Amino acid sequence: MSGSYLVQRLTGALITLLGVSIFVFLMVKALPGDPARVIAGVDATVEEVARIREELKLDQGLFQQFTTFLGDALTGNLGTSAKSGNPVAAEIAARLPATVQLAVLAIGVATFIGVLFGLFAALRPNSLVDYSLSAFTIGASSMPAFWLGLLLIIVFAVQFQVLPASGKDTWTSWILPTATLAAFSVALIARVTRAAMLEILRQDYIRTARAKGASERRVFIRHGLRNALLPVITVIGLQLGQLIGGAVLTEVVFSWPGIGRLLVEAIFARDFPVIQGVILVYAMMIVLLNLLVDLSYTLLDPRISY
Amino acid sequence: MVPTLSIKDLTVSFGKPGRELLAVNGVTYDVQPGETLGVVGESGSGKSVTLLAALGLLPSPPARISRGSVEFQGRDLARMDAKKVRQIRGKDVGFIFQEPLTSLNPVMTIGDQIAEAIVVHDQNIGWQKARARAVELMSLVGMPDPERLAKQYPHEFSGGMRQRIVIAIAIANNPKLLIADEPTTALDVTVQAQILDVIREAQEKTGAATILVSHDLGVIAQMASKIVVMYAGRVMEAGDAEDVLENPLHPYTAALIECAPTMESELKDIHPIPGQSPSLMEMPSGCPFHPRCRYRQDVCASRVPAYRAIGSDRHVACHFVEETAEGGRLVVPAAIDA
Repeated sequence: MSGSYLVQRLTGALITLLGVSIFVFLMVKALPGDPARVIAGVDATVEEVARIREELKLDQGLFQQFTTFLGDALTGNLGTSAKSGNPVAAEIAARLPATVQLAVLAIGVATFIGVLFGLFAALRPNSLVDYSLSAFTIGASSMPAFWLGLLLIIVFAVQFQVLPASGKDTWTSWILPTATLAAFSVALIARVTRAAMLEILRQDYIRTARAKGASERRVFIRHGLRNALLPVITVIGLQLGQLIGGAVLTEVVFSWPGIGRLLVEAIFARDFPVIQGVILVYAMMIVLLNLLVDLSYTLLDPRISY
Repeated sequence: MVPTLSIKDLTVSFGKPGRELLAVNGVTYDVQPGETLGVVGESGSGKSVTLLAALGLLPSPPARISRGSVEFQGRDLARMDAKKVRQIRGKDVGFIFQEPLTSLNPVMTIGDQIAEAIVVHDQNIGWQKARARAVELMSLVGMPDPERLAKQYPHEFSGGMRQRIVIAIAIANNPKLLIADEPTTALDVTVQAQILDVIREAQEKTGAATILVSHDLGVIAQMASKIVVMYAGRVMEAGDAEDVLENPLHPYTAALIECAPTMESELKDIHPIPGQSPSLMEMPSGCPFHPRCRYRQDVCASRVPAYRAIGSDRHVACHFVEETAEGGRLVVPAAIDA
């Protein structure tokens, strides 16, 4: 891999992040409500509100506000939470691990089950197994997370009372949020694995492998899956980004102490600095994951080199 | 002598019983140890399908052997457990395919792809020894600097080089039978001759019987001592290569020879066979070649001619072969470049 490609990709990633930060900044500006008034409280005098406006530099021009915001963000200063008064960066840092852990666990489970399902479906295309898996994946991918989450709570926490409905105190409290979060990804990964495998299994080199006398398992794994990995890895990487960002609803449903719930709480409280910070962190992670997926291609496929 | 491969009345059908299409219909031929058999025919004549089905390389379903037997050194592959056939494939029977550009795994080093052919048939050898053997095989098929090239990937090689790798895989276990399915069709003319040489050498080193499938009579004439001519899933004519090429007894063989270009022939000397070979879905009644045959009679459309022995070493499926054989030549065949 040449260094210039890496530089090129990193520059691209930075430009994307700059775009995102502009977008986030403007979006928060466009939201109804006055941050200064929120911070000052309902009883504040006009003078107090004006003082806070000045402190937050809200009286300055839009461009100047943005450069200040960007400069602070670059030094790790995402501002101060309007609600708690703590630095936004610290609030996010405290909640981020829970979100990442859950997303990684969910993608791990989704990858394992999804690839397995996809392989089985590709092994016997258009069989009963294939159709059942299709039905399952369509079902799983059609269920919104909040609905599936509530359903799981009703069944396992309320009806049978075998799993906790919220929190993250014991290992059992991970099961329902992980299942909820993984469901959609399982479906997608299974579908992509199946399609990629069916495509690969038609290739001439699969016939060559069989002509060598390789066992079906060897043909399937060493020659089939190894080649099908590229699209599957792509989906897994993109899904991980989705899971980190998409965990918002799941975190709310299961009272999971992650940044998704932090975001929702911040939105309800009109805590603009926190909203900005969380969205920026989401964007950073997704850009980073995309970069990693792209770079992983060179490891997976010798034909790709940058 | 027990033939290396003996195909008898082999019929390969696609699709569900009752609505099946016959890609191969009652094909019979065999190849003796050390001998090179050439199988000729247009595309769709079933020449590849016969061999792929014989060695269990056709996806089943939809393909299945509905009749006949395939004896490899006296053992019937058609009735053998798939696992047993797999143990023969790649070990006793090596394959060379038509598409060198796509028949190698793009994400595996070529050294490993050759070594794999050894490892899957010998649990005790281990990858390290197998890789060393792969390097030897690469120099055997004429690849320079094999040590270094073994660590490279297929996309770094030309078509000719890749076909050499495929040949190295095919001969990795000193097979008794080498099946080369249009091995030079996808290659440049200049490379074709080299690859044929490599196959010939590989054959000499291993002593393997060889079945060379080709639509190119020139290639067949160069390599084969016996010929099988196939059309629409059936054998039309078979016999000693020289005899068949010099004195074809089946009108289809004669027509094939007439349309083969030679170094001397000009465009006006080449006579393409009118019409097209039939699709599986619209197989003509009677002799499958009759719609295109210039000697056809009424009987040709109604009855399938028996495939029968003419003389000691010749088989022909034509209603009028006895008359032809006595009355002399069907055509004056153009010289086939040898």
